[in-house]
Parts: sequence; C-alpha cells; structure tokens
Amino acid sequence: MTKMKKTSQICQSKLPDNTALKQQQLPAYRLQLSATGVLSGFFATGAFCLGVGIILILSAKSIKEIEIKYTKICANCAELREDAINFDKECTCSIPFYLSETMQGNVYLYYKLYGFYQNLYRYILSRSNSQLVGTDLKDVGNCAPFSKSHNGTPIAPCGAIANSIFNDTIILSYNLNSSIHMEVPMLRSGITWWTDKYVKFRNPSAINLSSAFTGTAKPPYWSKPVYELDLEDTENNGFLNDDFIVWMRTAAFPTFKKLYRRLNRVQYFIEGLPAGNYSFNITYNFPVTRFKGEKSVVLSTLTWSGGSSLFLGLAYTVTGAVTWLAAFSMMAIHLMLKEKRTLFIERFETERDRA
Amino acid sequence: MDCSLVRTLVHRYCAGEENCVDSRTIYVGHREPPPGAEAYIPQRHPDNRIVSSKYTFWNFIPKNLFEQFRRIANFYFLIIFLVQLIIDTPTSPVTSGLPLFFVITVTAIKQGYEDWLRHKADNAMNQCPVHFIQHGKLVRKQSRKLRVGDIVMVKEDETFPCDLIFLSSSRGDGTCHVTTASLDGESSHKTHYAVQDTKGFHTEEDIDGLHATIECEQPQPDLYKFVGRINVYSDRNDPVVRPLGSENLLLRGATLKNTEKIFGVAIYTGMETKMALNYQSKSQKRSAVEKSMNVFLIVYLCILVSKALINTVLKYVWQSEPFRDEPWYNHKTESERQRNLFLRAFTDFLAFMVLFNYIIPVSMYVTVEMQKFLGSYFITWDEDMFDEDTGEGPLVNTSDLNEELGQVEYVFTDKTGTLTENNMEFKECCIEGHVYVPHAVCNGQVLPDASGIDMIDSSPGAGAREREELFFRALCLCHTIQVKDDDDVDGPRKSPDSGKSCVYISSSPDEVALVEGIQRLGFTYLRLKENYMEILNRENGVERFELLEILSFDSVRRRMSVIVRSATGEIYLFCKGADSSIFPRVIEGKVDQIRSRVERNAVEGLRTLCVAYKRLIPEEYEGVCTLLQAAKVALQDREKKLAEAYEQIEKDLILLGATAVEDRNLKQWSRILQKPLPITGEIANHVLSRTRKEGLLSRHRSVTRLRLQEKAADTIEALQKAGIKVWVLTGDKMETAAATCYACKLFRRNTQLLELTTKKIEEQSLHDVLFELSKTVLRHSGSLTRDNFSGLSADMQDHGLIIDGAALSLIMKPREDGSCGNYRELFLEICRNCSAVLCCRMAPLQKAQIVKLIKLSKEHPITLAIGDGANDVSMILEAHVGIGVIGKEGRQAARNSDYAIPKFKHLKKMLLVHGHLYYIRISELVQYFFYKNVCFIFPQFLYQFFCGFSQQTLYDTAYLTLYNISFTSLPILLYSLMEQHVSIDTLRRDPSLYRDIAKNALLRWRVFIYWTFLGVFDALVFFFGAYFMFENTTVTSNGQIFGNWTFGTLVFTVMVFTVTLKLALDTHYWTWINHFVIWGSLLFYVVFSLLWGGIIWPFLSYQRMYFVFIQMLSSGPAWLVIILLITVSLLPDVLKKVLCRQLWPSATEKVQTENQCLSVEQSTVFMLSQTSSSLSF
Repeated sequence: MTKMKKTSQICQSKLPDNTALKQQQLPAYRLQLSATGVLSGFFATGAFCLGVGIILILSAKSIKEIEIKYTKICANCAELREDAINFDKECTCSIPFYLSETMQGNVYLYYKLYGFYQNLYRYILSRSNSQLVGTDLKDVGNCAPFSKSHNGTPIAPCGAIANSIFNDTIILSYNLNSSIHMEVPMLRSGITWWTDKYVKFRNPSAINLSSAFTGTAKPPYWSKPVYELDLEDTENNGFLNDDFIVWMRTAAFPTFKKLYRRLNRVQYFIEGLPAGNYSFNITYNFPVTRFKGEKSVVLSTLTWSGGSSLFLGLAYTVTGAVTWLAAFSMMAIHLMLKEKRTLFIERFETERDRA
Repeated sequence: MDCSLVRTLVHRYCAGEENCVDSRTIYVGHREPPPGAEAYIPQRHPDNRIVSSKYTFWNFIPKNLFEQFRRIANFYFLIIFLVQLIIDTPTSPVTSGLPLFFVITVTAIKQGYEDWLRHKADNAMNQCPVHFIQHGKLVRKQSRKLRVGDIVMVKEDETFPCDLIFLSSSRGDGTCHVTTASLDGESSHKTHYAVQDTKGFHTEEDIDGLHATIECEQPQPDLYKFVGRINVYSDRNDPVVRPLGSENLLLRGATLKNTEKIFGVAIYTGMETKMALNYQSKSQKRSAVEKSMNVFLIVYLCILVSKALINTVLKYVWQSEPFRDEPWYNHKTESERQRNLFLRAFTDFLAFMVLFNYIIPVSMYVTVEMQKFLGSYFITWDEDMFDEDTGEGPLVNTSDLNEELGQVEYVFTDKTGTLTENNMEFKECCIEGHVYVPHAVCNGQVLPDASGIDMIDSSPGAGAREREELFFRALCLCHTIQVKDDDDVDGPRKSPDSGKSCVYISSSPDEVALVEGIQRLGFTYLRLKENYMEILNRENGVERFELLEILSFDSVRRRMSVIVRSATGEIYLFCKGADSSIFPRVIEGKVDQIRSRVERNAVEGLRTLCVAYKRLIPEEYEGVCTLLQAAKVALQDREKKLAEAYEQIEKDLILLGATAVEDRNLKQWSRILQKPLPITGEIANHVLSRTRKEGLLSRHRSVTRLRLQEKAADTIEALQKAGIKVWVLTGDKMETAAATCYACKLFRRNTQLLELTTKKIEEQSLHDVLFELSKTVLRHSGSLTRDNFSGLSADMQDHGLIIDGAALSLIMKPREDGSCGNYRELFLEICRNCSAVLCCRMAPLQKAQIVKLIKLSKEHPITLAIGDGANDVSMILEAHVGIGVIGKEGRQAARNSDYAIPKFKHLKKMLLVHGHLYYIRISELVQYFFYKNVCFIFPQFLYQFFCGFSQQTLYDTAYLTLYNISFTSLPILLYSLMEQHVSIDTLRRDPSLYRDIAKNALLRWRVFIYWTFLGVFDALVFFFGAYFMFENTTVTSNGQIFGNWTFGTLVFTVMVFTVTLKLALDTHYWTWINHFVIWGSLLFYVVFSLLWGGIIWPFLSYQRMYFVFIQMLSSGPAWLVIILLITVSLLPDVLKKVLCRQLWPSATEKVQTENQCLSVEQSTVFMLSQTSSSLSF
C-alpha cells in the first residue's frame, strides 16, 4: 500500500502543471484575414486616404509660393565669388519681381541651396557641442580641419558647419510706386526651434560678449567675429544668433531651404504681402558656383499641413484610389469564387438527394 | 572529440611507453607478484580525481572567449567591432559592441555558472571519504587519492568511487546487487559476481593477504563490455587464472544495494573510469532550418559586401570631380590628404561594411537560441504526452531540433516495444507437436478460475511425459533471469512456497514471459543460490541444478544455452533461440511438426522460440570447459573466440519444442484476417491458409491477437496521411513482422506487397528481382501522375515493400567491379514509391545503415528514428532526429536520443502538433528577422546616394543599437513561442496539414526572395516617402525647418511601426501576451524616444537628438506622412495574402477559413437556438 502511495505521489509531482500557458491553451483571439474583414478594411482605408488626400490637395492649393533663383541673375557677383581672393569685395544684386496676388497671412522668407552637401559625414561631425552650450570655449576636439587658427588659438564657433555659414543678406523691399521703395519689415526671431535657442545654444557667461570670446579666433571664412553677427540687436549675437542656429541644424539633403525671416505683419503688411512690385536686395557673399550649386530665395505662406507641395495630397489620393481598386478586384474574385462554390455545393446536394 | 584525443595522448605520455600496449597489469594491493612469475613493472595511472569542469578560475575568461569566438557569427561581429574601433567609422563602436558584449556576457555567465556547478559536484565527488585497506586496516581517505590497485570497501547505498573488480561481498554467495540509475538510467537491480577465488575473503585481514595481479584491457567507454583476467597466487600452487567479464566489474557511479559491504580492487580511476569516458558529448545534429538560415546568412553577407563595394566604387566615381571631393566648405585634414588612395578606398570599404553590418543582426542568434530553449519546454510541459502508467513525461535532450520535428519525411520505427507494447505474455508451447495453452492471464496474474493446462491436441502418451518435463525444465533453466524479492537480503528467509510472489527481472521481457508461463504450467524457477538453480516442480519438490556455464545470448547467434548438472549428476545443455538458428543444429526431434506450428504462430504475430537440448557425457563436458576457458581468458578478440567456441558447442541438438509469446493484442487483427488480402507470395499463402484453419483455434482464444501499443495503428495512419513514409525495422521473422504491420495499419488491405527477400533472391538473381519490382512500382506511379494527385485516397493502390536483412546487405555490398551505386539507386527508387517498407531480420547495425542510406539519398530527406532498446541506439544516433521510447528494455535508447517519449502514440502529437508549430514559428522568425533588417538597412544604403557616399548614418546611434535589441525583439520572440496558425486540435485532427510544410516549404528560395523584396519595397517606401516630403514641403506649420536627424527619426518611426504591425498581421493567435508585447514595444519606442530627445544627456558629446522626436510629433504633416507610409507599406502584403488565400489556398488556409466559418455558424446556431431572445438579423 505504502508503495502505491509513493508512486502516485511521484506521478503527481512529475505530472506537468495544467496551466493554460504551459499547455499552450491561453485564451486567445484568432485573427484570420477573412475576405469580408479585409474588404471592409480596404474600403475604409481607401475612403480615409481619398478623403485626406482631397483635403490636403485643396489646402495646398490655397498656398502661395514664389521661388527666385538668383545665381544666374547675379552672375557678376557669382563670378566674383568664384575666387576666394575677392572675399573682401562687396557685391550686391537687386532682383525685381512682381507679385500678382496678395500673399495672405504669415509669409515666410527662405533661402534655398542646391547641391550643397550639409550631410557629409565629416561635415556633420565637425562641430563642438560643449563650445556651443558655452561651457568650454577651448574644446575644439571634433572640429578638424577648422579647429584652430594659424596662430593656434581655438576658433569659436569651430568646425566646418559654422565656418560655412550662409552669409548673404537678403532684404525684401516693396515698390509702392516707382519712387517709393520701402523695406518690408521682417522678423528675425522665431525662426529657430525654441529648445535650440534657449537650451542647446548658450553664450559663455561674461560681462559682455566680446570679452567672453577673448582668446578665440573667428572662423576663417567669416568677416566678423561671432559676437558681432547682429549689430542691431545685441541679444542676437554670439552663439544665440538665429541665423547661426538655423544654419547649425544640418539639412538632410543636398537641396534644402532654411528659414531666413518672417514677415512682420504691420502697416501695409497686416494682411500679408500685398500684390505689387517687389525687389530682393541681396548682398552676395556665399559662393555656390564653386561646387556647381545654385541659390534661391523663396517666399511662401503656410497652412496647417505645411508648405505648398502637392506631394502629400497626391500620395494620399493615389493610395486611396489604388486601395479601392484592389478592394473592387478582390470583391470580384471573391464573388466569383463564392458563386462557383455555391454551384458546386448545390450540385453536390442535388446529387446526394438523387442518390 | 579532439579534447579527448589530447587527453589520452597526454595520459599516455605521462604514463610512459609501457602503457601504450593494449592491456594493463594491476597489482592488487600494490603487492609485487612472487618472483619468477612475471616482471614487476610499476605503472603510473591517473589519480581518482574527476574533472568534468571545462574551466579553471584562471583560464575561464580567455578560454571561454576563445570558445565563443569560434562561432562564425560571433567572430564576424568581433571583426566588425574591431574595425569600428580602429578606423574612423560613421557608427560608434558601441552600436555593435554593446549587443556583442551583451551576448557574450550572458553566454559566459551561463557557461560559468554551469561550470561552477560542475566544479562543486567534482569537489564533492573528489573529496567524499572512501574506505581503503592498508596493511590490513581500514583507512578513510579522500576519493581523489585513490590509486589503481588499491583495495576499497564499499558499504550499502554507497556509490562506487572508481571502476572496481569485485573481490568479495558480505553475502555468502559472493554476489551483490547494484543499480546503475545514474549511469544509464536503469533503476532495476543487477547482480554482479565476485571473483570465484577471492569471494571467501570477508575481513580486512583476509583481503590484505590476497596476492594477485589483474590484466585487463585499457579503458574504453562501453559500459557493458569488459575483458580481463586475474592471476591469484597462493603460496604453494601455480597461479590460478580466472576470466573477468563485465559481471565482475563494478562501475563508478553505480550504487550498491541489498548488500552490506563489498571489497574491490580499483582498476580504472579518475578520468579513465567508464563513466568519465562516457561524458564525451555526442556529435551535434543540426536542423534543416539552421542550414537554410546559414545559407540565407551567406546570401546576406554577399549582399552586404556588394553593397559596400558598390558604394565604395560610386564614391570614387562621384568624387572624381574635385569640387565634390573637397568642396570649400568641407576641407580635408592634412592626414586625410596624405593617405594613399588604395588605403583610403579600403578603409572606405570597411566603413561601408560597418555601416551596413546590421543587416546581419547579432540578436537573431540570441533570439533563435532563446526560442529553441524556451520553446522546448512546451514539449516537456505537455500533459497529453505524459504517461500516467509509468509516471513519465517526454524528455528533451536537445532543443536544437525542435523545428526538425515538423520536417520529417521518413520515420524508421522499431517494432518491439515501440509499435507493440513490450508486454510479453506466454501464449502456448508446443512439445513435439502437442500444444499446451495456459489459461488466460492478465499481466502476469492468473485469473482465479484458471489453473490447469488446456491441451488442444490429444493428450500425450506416457513416453512423451518425460520429454514434456524436460522441456519445462529447460525453459526454467535456460535464461539469465534474476529473482528479486523486496525484503530479501541474504538468501532463503522465505519458504519455498512463496516463490510465486517473487519478481523476475531480466533484460529480455520474453524470458520473463516464458518463465512466468512455465510457472503456470507447474514448474517454478526459484532462485540461483551458490551456483545452484532451484526449481519447484509439479509435485512441489525442489530440484537443484548446478549451473556450469552460460553461453549468453547475442543478436548474431540469436540463441543462448546453459549447461547444468542435475542432482543425479547428468550434464545437460539446454539451448533456446530463434527457429532459424535452432533448426539447422538439430539432429533429432519432430522438426516438421514443430516447424509448421512455429510458422503458424509467426503469422499470428507471436514471437516464437525453439528449445533444444543435448546430454553431455563428462568427457565431452571437459572438452567444452577447456574450449570455453580458453576463449574466456583471451584478452584480444574475446568475442570472436567465444562465438567460435559457442558455435562448436551448440550442435547436434535434440529438438524439444517451441514456445509462443504474445506481444499484446489488437482487435482489428481478426477483422483483417477474415477478408481476402491482395498480397503476394509467401505471406499470402500463410495468411490464407491460416484463415482457413481459423476454426480450430478460435474456440480457445479470444478473437484478439496481436497487442499493439495503444493507438499505434492510429498514429501510423496519421503519419502516413501526413505524407511521412513509415518504415518498420525489426529483427523478427518476416511473418511476425508482416502481421504486426497489418495490425498497425502500416499495410492496408489494398496495399500491394512487394517482396525482396532472401528466398526470392535465391530463385532469381538480385538484378532481376530489383528490375522487376521497379517496373511494377514505376508503371503504377506513372499512371498515378496521369490520374489525380490527391494523395492517399482510400481507393488508391499503394505499395508496401518487405525486405530482409540478408537481401539488404546484398544490395548494400559493393559489387566486384566497383559499381556499387547501381543497385542502391534502384532500391532507393523502389522505396521512394512505396508508402510503407518493412525490414525484417535486421541486425542493429543494419538499422543504422538503412537510415544512413535514405539520409544520403539524393533528395536528402529528413529522417526520424524511434526505438526503445539498446539495439536501436545506432539508428537513433544516425537519423536526423532520434526519438527514444522510455520503455521497459532499459533507458539506453532514451538516453541517446534527442527526444524521449513514454509511448509510441505520443509521436503523433510530437510531429503533427509540436513539430508543425515549431517549424511555422521558427521559419517566420528567420524570415522576419531578415525582413526587418532589410527594412532597417536599405534606407541607410539609399541615403548614401544623397550624402555623397560619405557614410553618414541615417539613424542616431541609440536607434541603431536598440532597434534589434529592444524595439523589435520581443514581439517576434513571443510570436515564435506562442503562435498557433491553426489550433492544436485541428492539427491533430487533420494530419494532411503536415504536407503543407514538408520540404522546408516556408524557407524555400521563393519565400525568402519574397520576404527580401517585401523588405526592399518597404524600405523604398519609407525612404522616398520621407524624401519627397522633405524635398518639397515645409514640414512644419510654423515655417521652421527640420534637419537630417529628424529625417532619420521619421524613417525610423515609420519603420518600427510598420515592422511591428507586419508581425501583428501575421499573428493568428492573439493572447494577452502578444497584445502586451506588440503594443508594449511600440509604446516603449515612443516613450524611449521622448526621453532620449527630452533631456540633455550629460554623457553624450553631441546632443543631436535633442527634441528631434518631440518637434517631429508636433508637426501635423509628419503625422500624416507616418500614417500614409505605414499604410502603403503594409497594403501590398495584405493584398498578396488575401489574393493567394482566395485563389490558391493551401490546405492550412482552407482549414483556417473553414474554422472561421464554423465558428460563425456555431455562433449563429447558438443565437438562433435562443429563440426567445428578440434579436433581429
């Protein structure tokens, strides 16, 4: 008897637990891609995509955008900049254009570069973060080959990115009539990410900026030191300069645009940019012909869905259409097969009845 | 393997040259032999320290690292890591170093822990106290100090500290009982015998006075084999020479039972013990999935290299214009300018390799290993595979082959104990043509009303009475059974009457069945005491026979004999064996009558044995003795010499009769018999004639005949439906085996049987037979292809082949002219077209041979061998998957197998359910892993075309590192553990689903290429979708601009979501765990990204990800793009799936749809049945 008990105990201890997990019997929902489920899913997706696409296209239509490439227009300046020796010769260029329609709402002024590789591996690397947050101006570790000037003082801001900053000045003027040329008021603020301006970029702490940057050299391609970037607004100097911060956010592709100014909606420009004659007065400094690139200025309005491209809207519309097409063909196949099957079953049943 | 080789070499070197000879001499108690007998050569042997651990404290780190980096994958990642360290690469070394470090550390910790346990066990073992005899006194020492030649005392329930020659025991008869549970898993007691001349030494002083040398073979791992001899010197006489066999050897690891104490002399110590030699790991089997995984890896490696090459070449083409090579805004450093062009190109190539190296992920290996390891628990946990009778569940000895269970094409099964229950029952005996049937018994217990003998033929005459008793005595004596009575420690405490309660133990269940059967016929075997076998005869008198010799059983001779001396001094030789091995040696007796009876029984599936005897006159016996002694003491070729001696002794026999033992019954058998069978040749005649004669016997027996293991027929049928070819390999007679095959539905009524047997080959030449058979088979298969290809429909005729061992060896034997392949090919061709093959009269080695033959045939099918006995071990080791049945014939098969199951019927669930699921899971795992890494790396590749091939990375370092480790790892791991594309019940019900995954269907090139292209397509969608978005649009609504890191993050976000949702769409079985893991890892990604970008991390030198993710999410268009791109990349796959399912559904998909319809119908019916409810449709 005792032996029997013992063996049964052993059995019990060896018997695996009867839990749902161990027996692979967990309660579960079985997902099967059934025809009806998939069809309704497809129709719903298609409808959604079409809807969003149409809305996007409509909203993109309302956007006005002007782009003016000025490399060829300012060919003489471009030629001058071909040679680095002429770096201190000033060259300006005026580009008149006509705005046929009012640009309603907020207007943004961009500059756009073609063929400028801001995403080269060494280029992206060539910056010093600890310098830019103002903690250690002397830290130029990654900045080669623009880390130190000829006499060995560290460059601030160091690195290839900072060195190659876009240094054209673009001034938009509104020609009310042939005699009155008025500069369109533009805002330099708000063109950077808030976090960049207030967290990621900091000036070194000192009484004034110029003393903070003593012991450093300006980047070789710069004409002014970093603390004199904006002569009008002292707050907009050093590493906190908006244009500088914008430039430092490297672009993903060789063709890119960067935000330059926002329209200050005052006086004539409360509604936006009224239709009429304008001209861009450009101080041409940035050489692009050397790398066979181009420059342009872009004026654009925006909506909730961003800029003027039809891409997103079209992509949605096409996706929606294709989805519907697929759904319809699937439905056709499904119905065909179903008919066949019911026929087969009917035949089978009649035969069975006969038998 | 090579380790052991080195070890033996070292040992040999240490031990000096004399040890290289084939035998060693041991001086018992380190006493020199008397002068003149032999030269005393002191020998050096290793001490008794067991070292099972691999590492020491000092060499752990270097040795473990070396072992780990021997794996190709780890080595590859190490190289990548080193390249990253050395050259200036775009990705930080952390990205590949961290995962590699993680993997290596985890593995090292695991192995270190295992080794620590081994160290602990070793120490415990090496330090446990052992009793020595030194100068006549008992001394305690640590086990590791034991040396060869020491005399050791072992007490009851202690384990033997090393391999000992058994000198004497406290039991008077010089025996002891041991269990070898920790060696081979057999827990039954085995009896070992002390050396004849020393068994009288009972005290320490006596033993110390022993003067002897032992010569024995050098250590070898076979647990069941040992040859040696002992020379005992006494003062006066010449030395006495005695043979030593495995019955005198007590193995390290075995435990002494039922014996107070024993003395033994150490002959093999430490790493030379048989237990230590058996530590050597078996050869590694690799699954087909692993092989295709490796092929895919090579493909990806090629893709990787070509990607890197393409980019390097393009880079230099692109840079050929100086304004691109070094634009004014991106000057080179001095050192870069001075570098040699080729060196630069080479480092660029390496840098690209590093950049794209994630296409072969480290984590895949970890995930696959974890999946296999954790997944194998589902087998051991399975309640359905637990056998309550034996209290045994399935065992998983290796988890590497889980998915191989889903790929089996050939099953090779042993018959006895596997197909049939190894539960033998004595059925009848036939003495000189008279048939005796003991009454119905049930598992060895006599039913109360049945006690007599039922004689079918007329009672034998008085003259035959003597023969009859001789027959019974022969069966009582001719065996190697041990009697075990639980309370018995030392001899006859019980009265002889209680003999019936004693339990017989034997390695062969036939013997037990026979002795039990004879017990019911009046003769009871009591015990073997002091070399006298005691039997209780019909008159309840005890007869004592002196056991002189045992000519033990082997599978070549197929018989065994004993030589005994009766009380009256007559010497008999009793021989028992297979009919084929007995009849040729018989010179007298009613051979024909017995032969017909034997054949009749064989057709019924009974195991038959013939019994013969001969009387030896003392002179003859002397001759026999010297012959045997000479063979027994031989150290070389002992087996061969013994076999020759047996051959000489076992001849000129007188046939007594035959026995029939039943191998467990099945009801269908009689039903099959009563219908005409379309079988050809010999068997048909037998079966038909048997059917006609049925009348006589059916009165006496129940209709049931063969007793198969439960559900064996059901299992075989299911396996055949699953497209698996089942071969039965057995050592039995053809008739017995064929009957079993019918019973277990291996052959059906419409199976056309083809015979390839010795008999047929004698009639025609092998050549003709083979060609004829192949013609029959091929004609049929030709018509088959023209007809429908519906698989095994009920009406379709299929072929079954019967082949015997002799014919097989003819086929396997290379012909004189060397063209051996010819017959083999033909034979394989025939086999390929037969749904079932029966191989009978097979030797154990032949079983492995035939497995190998099929395994290496040109389709390279996956083979599975299943068996329960020691004779199946070779085929279990040979087959791709070896399965042991935890049976009665010991645990050898289970120990050597990859998986062990309690019953044959569990094979069905093992293959059809577990195998199928594992295969589905792991193939998805492999494909998905490659897919997700194509998605991951291909955008990176595309990005190079937009960044001047400057190796700029698209994603941030954190993303590169964590993509495979945490963002996308858990969902696929859990999928590969939980997925059930069809329910377990359906898989079990519908074996034909197994065909859907045959031939590695889910890892074929077509599927692999589909997955790769899907990955490429998705990558194109992610990249160019985001590209056009960035190129043409201001992505934000406040006019601000995003940079390259935002672009990378956008692509990465879309990718993580797409890849995870793709898996979600593939998941058919959504448990809460799947929900948790899939949605959880998406959530984790989002939370991680918010955190990663939300803080200025002080330890980072760059803050490029700062607020990137949050800024991206704050822009409306980015959301729209993410949604659009996910939809676009998922749609084609869904569409493809639905269309394929509609137009060309596989069986599995049909079942899935059916089940869904069914569940819908059921719910409808349920709703309808609730008529009272006011539901409106």
